[in-house]
Amino acid sequence: MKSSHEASSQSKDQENDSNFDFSGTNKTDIKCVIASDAPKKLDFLILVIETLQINATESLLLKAKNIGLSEDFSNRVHFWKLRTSNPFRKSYAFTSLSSEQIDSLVELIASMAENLYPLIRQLLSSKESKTLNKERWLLFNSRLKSLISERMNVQRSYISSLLSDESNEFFRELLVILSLSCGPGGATRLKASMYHQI
Amino acid sequence: MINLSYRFDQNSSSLELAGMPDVSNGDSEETIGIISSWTLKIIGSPLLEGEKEHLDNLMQVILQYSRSYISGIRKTFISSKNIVKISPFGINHKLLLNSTKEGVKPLEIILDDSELSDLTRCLDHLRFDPRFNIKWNIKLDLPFTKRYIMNNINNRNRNLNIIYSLIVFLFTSSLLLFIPIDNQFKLRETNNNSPSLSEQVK
Repeated sequence: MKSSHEASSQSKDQENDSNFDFSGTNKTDIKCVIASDAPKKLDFLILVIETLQINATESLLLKAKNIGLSEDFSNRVHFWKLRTSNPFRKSYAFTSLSSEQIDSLVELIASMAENLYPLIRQLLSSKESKTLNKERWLLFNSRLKSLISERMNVQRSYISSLLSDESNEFFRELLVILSLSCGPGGATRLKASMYHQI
Repeated sequence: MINLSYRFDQNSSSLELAGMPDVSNGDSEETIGIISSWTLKIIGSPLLEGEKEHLDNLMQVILQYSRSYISGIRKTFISSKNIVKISPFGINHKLLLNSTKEGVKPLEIILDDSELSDLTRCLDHLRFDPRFNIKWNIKLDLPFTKRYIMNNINNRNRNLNIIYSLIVFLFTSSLLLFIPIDNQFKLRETNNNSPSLSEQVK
């Protein structure tokens, strides 16, 4: 007989298991599980979107409505509850995201990144004026760091290291992810990075 | 014969393809089924052109590299016939193109992150464009295994907590070895027939 813990962990595994469906020319089902850092990554990507666009939450909800996403995106509270699955948040809810929720968030992030592509591109480009680029990064950094310190648990060493990091390596990584999530194949690419094949 | 030409522009990259419908495959008048030529312009680099096979190779390498890069993996990718190679180059990316013609030196193009994403978007537009009925020889964007990620992720990004804890454990254990202990210490045997206090007083 299985213990209750074993049973619950098994049901959780089943919930996290997903058949990866990609929009390629041939359809294949691949057994995979949600990557452990997926909630963190998705929440930080939304945070970058909020940094790049003022009142981004409203735009995100409107975009979700336009692309026909589920009830999780019907209002701010439901949307915030999704984001509390990030273990680095002050309001971490000890919940995990289902594969449907991950797919919806990926779709939403990819379509928002498409709108913000010119801004993302400006920040990543090394061919533009250095002083202008430096100013842009300064503004982007200060806004993103203030959002992080407002919403994340600053007691966590990871968050405090992010706030004190001057190289902005992680922020750049997030912008690269957003830039590669744009376009017709971007959502599939981002989705693939949120899972692990088994 | 209908000659068609379509162009995909994306900031720093511009990809233009010319071809014709493959009537034997039932293509409509606006669909390209056979590619006759293609040109790729990347700002600041020479014009690239070639055959379908070369474009296939370029797509293989760029799309695989972008797929890996989005997962935090930066590694070199070489196309099946060694025509195209892309590898990390500092914070940028080095694209190396070998010509199939003899005596032509390989062409090296340095792309930054924005140019890489422009090029990736161009190629994405091409592979998902319904006006093309062409089977591309490219790998699909699939999730990686945990092992693959662990083996390929940058060393500095790896979680080294276990190794650090092991080092601290070994260091403290070795420090404990230097604490002197009394090897001469012997337990005194308890003697039951020793005289009691009252007997000693007597």
